Amino acid sequence: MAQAKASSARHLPARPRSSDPAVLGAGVRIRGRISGEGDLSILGSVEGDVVVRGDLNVGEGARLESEVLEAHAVTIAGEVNGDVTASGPVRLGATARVRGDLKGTEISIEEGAQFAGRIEADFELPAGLGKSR
Amino acid sequence: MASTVIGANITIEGEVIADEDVVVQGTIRGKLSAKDGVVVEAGAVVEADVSGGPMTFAGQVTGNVTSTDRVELQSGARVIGNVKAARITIADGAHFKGNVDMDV
Repeated sequence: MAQAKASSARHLPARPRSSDPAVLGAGVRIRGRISGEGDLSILGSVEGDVVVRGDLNVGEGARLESEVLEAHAVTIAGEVNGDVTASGPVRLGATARVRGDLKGTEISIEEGAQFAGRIEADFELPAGLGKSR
Repeated sequence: MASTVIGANITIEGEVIADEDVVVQGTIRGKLSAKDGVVVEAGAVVEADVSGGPMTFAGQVTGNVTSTDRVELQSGARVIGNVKAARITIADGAHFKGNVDMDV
């Protein structure tokens, strides 16, 4: 009994909580690698790779210099230099400035967005349209 | 409400420089420099030198801490490193190993 009590009083690793969404505010600069399971919003400046399982939101005014950008859905309204690999859709908003390749299930580019790079979208061609390769 | 939250599922390896409050729920390895307050919540892991304004630690911090204001180690906090601050409180139940320099 006493033993059980002692072990329960041990320092338990805190379980990850999905309470607050991860936000890197406008006044934050990060030089390094960011990785994670959840969603991430970047409003500041990041120099380095960003790999998240959840959705990535690059807000207006944000700046990313990354060789690798991986996430599920990616929404960009800021400035991005680097290749984007999404397992979901990629959306470039009207204020986006992107230099790099985009890969996702859907790619949408709003009017006003600036984009230089290649687009690779994995979607099913409608019936009747043969494979181009 | 701080505008920067390093969420529980996020790991940053590198340098974080913030002009605003930072709340850490996840993991930072490297360096954390804030102009304002730093909160390390329970469950968070910071393996970095931390500098900034008022600081509240309830999680794990390994590294040297420099504050222009006060440092508060709450119950459950685990801090290994030297703390330099004008004021420091260590709550009952906080773990601390290191030196304290209050600049007297």
